[in-house]
Amino acid sequence: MKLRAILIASVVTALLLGAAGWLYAHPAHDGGKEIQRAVSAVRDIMIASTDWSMELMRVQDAPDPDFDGLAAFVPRMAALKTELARAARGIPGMPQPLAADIAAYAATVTAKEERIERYKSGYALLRNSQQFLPVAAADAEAAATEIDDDSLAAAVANLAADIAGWIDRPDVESASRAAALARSLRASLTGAPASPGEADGWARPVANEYPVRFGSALDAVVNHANVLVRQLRSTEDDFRAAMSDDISALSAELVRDLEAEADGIEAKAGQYEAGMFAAVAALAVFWIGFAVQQTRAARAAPAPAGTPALPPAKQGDAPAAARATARRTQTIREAAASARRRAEEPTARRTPEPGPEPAPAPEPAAETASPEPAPEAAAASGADEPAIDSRRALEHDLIAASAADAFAQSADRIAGDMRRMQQAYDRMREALQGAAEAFAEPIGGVDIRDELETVSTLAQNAQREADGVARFAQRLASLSAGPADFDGAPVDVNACVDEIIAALDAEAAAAVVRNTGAVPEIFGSKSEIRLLIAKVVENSVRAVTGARDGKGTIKIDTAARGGEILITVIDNGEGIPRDRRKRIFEPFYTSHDGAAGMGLTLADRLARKYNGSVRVSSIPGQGTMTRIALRLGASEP
Amino acid sequence: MAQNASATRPRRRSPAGAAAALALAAALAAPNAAAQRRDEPIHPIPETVLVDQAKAALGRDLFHDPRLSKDDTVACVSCHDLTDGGDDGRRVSIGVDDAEGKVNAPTVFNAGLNFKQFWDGRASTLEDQVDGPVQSPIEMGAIWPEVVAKLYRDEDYTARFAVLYPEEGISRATIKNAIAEFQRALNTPNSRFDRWLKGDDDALTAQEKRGYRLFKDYGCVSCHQGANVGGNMFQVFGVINRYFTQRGNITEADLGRFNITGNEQDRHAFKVPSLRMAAHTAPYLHDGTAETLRDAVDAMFEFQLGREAPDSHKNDIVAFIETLAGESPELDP
Repeated sequence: MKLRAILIASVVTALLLGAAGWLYAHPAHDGGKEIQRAVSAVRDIMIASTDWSMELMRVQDAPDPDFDGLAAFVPRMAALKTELARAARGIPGMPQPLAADIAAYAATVTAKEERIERYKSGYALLRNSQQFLPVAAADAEAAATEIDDDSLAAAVANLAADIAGWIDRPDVESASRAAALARSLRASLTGAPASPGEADGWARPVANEYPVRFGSALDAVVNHANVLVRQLRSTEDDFRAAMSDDISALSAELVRDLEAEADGIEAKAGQYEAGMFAAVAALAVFWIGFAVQQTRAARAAPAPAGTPALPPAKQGDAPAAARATARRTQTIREAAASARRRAEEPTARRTPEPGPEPAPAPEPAAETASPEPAPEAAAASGADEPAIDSRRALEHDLIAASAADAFAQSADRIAGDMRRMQQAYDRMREALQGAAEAFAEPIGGVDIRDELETVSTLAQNAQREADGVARFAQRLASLSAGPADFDGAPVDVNACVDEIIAALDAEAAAAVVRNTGAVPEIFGSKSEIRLLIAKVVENSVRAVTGARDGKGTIKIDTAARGGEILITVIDNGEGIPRDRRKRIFEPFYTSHDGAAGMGLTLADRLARKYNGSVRVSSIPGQGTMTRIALRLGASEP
Repeated sequence: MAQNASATRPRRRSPAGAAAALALAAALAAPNAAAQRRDEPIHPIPETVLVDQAKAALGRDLFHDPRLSKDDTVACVSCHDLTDGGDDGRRVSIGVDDAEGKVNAPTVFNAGLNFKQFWDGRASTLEDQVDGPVQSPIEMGAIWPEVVAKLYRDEDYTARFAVLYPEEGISRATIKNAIAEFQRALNTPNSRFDRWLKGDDDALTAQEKRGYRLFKDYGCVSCHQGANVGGNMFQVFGVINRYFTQRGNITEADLGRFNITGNEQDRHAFKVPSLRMAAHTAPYLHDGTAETLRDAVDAMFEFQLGREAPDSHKNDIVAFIETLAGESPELDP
């Protein structure tokens, strides 16, 4: 397994496991439990609150109550509030309104406790003052009789009667009236104004003119009446507020809200769970796919050297394979010979159609395979259509012939190699045969008979290759078009040059400098000679097109010298590097995309027909000179 | 529910009716007088309390251990002397560095029956109360990590805590729990008054019975009721007459519950103290200014009841109060 594959697998696993783990551990899972705890705390509070109110009523109605019962609810409620708060803290993602509701609910419970505390205090005071007030009034009345003052006695008697009446019908108004009466009475005794500021019950000692007993008795009346005034309403309010059923209603609401929250959390927990399972499933799918992919990759890997994974062949086929290969080799040889002949033959006829394109070559090809005559990237935009067609036909013939020629050379080599390979397999087989008879048992895990089979298989494979090459050779050999027939006629080389220049495109034509001299006519095929020159010019055009900032130049000279016509094409393109110079005549060699690489090959062939030559000299970075020499009288019949 | 004004007024029975009812009750109850529980606003202290004995024993040792204080000089027992009523007999206590306390030390006996702890009721449980003295700079002046460390140096404590509190060992929470557990066992049931409540007519003298009746008639029982004869409510001190104006020199401690709640109604409000051990816990009141029980009764009449009473009545009431203390093994070792 490659390191990269391990890395990817680790990262994906870690991510998916991490995601699954996070989803599993997410507190959404526990939210439901905490909410149940909160709900039961609320229910307990509701029950306790109701019990508390019942106890409050019992206290209210009892003649001599004690407050132990009420006090016992204080720690009980405190514990329940703590439980509720703890459960609420454990709820994940608690929405703010719900948290506020819970806090408000707890505050309502606390408020009830405070009310009840105030009620207890007030109740005790009320009870005492209500009990004592008539006694105090009677006391004051008795004390007043000791004083020899009828109006005072009468006033106090009125007060006492008022209070007695009030006891039967206690209400705030009566108490206020009694208090006011007592205050004014006292004020009249002390000479101090009965200001409302004394309503809080803090009495000042009565002046010492009167018996202390009377004064203190009157003070007691005033004080206790003031307590009643103060406490009666507030204790009643505290009782009513503490008894009110807020908590029951709030409890029901809160439970509803909590359960709605629980539903929400459950839904979310369900999603999280689904997400967790999805992550685990994705991990499983990933690992399955990964394992499958790794297994496939391992199977497709090439077998290590020395262990060919071929089906075993029958022993008896090896000699047959050798014979078949020999036959194929012969076929290849014959095809090569035929192709060579065709390449050398003068052409009898020209076919207007382009030559058939040979099928693409099978594998065991020689170095110059791929005989695909891609149409020449034509610098030829034709003067007349038939001329172009015939030019093209000629080109194709020549290209096919060159290809066949090249192939023929390679095919010979292939045939030779194949024959030698079959001979080698034969020898190997004979040796192994002898060994198999000597070593009937496997040695070191190697069974000689298996190796015999291997040799047979290799020989068969070699035969298959030979078949392929032979078929290829036959196809090539069947190329019907050979070079065009040799037409003889006097040809004006300068006219050829003119026609070639006329066929160039504007940019190329602008670069041409024509320097034709007096040249005699040469006997031969005008189309051949024109093609020859055109190929060379094409190279130069290609070299200067788009180069030299539009200052590219192509000089075409024609001259006659020493029984030869010399056509010289000079360009100032980038030139040909030294290491490539050797190959420019090779078929299919090109340094330009879209060119077939046959230009100079063809030119060379054509020139040789006229006992001539094509010579190239080049200075890299400066330019190239190509000189075509055609011997006069070479082809005169 | 509808409440009318009369609801707040406790019912008053007419004397004739009361007499008739009593007679009838007596007639019915006579054969069972000995066993009849009386329906009174004061209840007997429960005789048994559910307490972990081992933890209580550990708590007892901690209660007596001065290592809970900053300089190993002050233990709980320094201000809550179990052999002498559960307080220290001082107006205010003396802590570490001879610091003077702010309020009179209440008794530790029957403290578990109080609905809250401290004069201002700021502690809801006995455990919570332990934090107060231990950390107060004028009482024991310690910090908990130090206390825990000191106790860990004691192998005996380490072993006992490891057994009783296996998960936590010695910690602030476990020390508090052990001490509280011990204190829960410091109830004093079976007082003479409780026996009388349970039906033993001979448990009280005539004066004491008279004293109880006066205690009720004067209204003392309105606040000092329940099993602990107090300790289950708050009340403003000086409700009829201004105590603090008269005494002067008002301190923060005098504000009482106002320091906790901030409510104006709670100014000078304190937790009503239990009278159970009152006979043994002079001086009295939150500032310790009433030196004798009689002084305390006088103050109550003047400031809480706002009425006068003859001496004989007050003496009877004192006699009654002295019947409230019960029994504890700690009282008489």
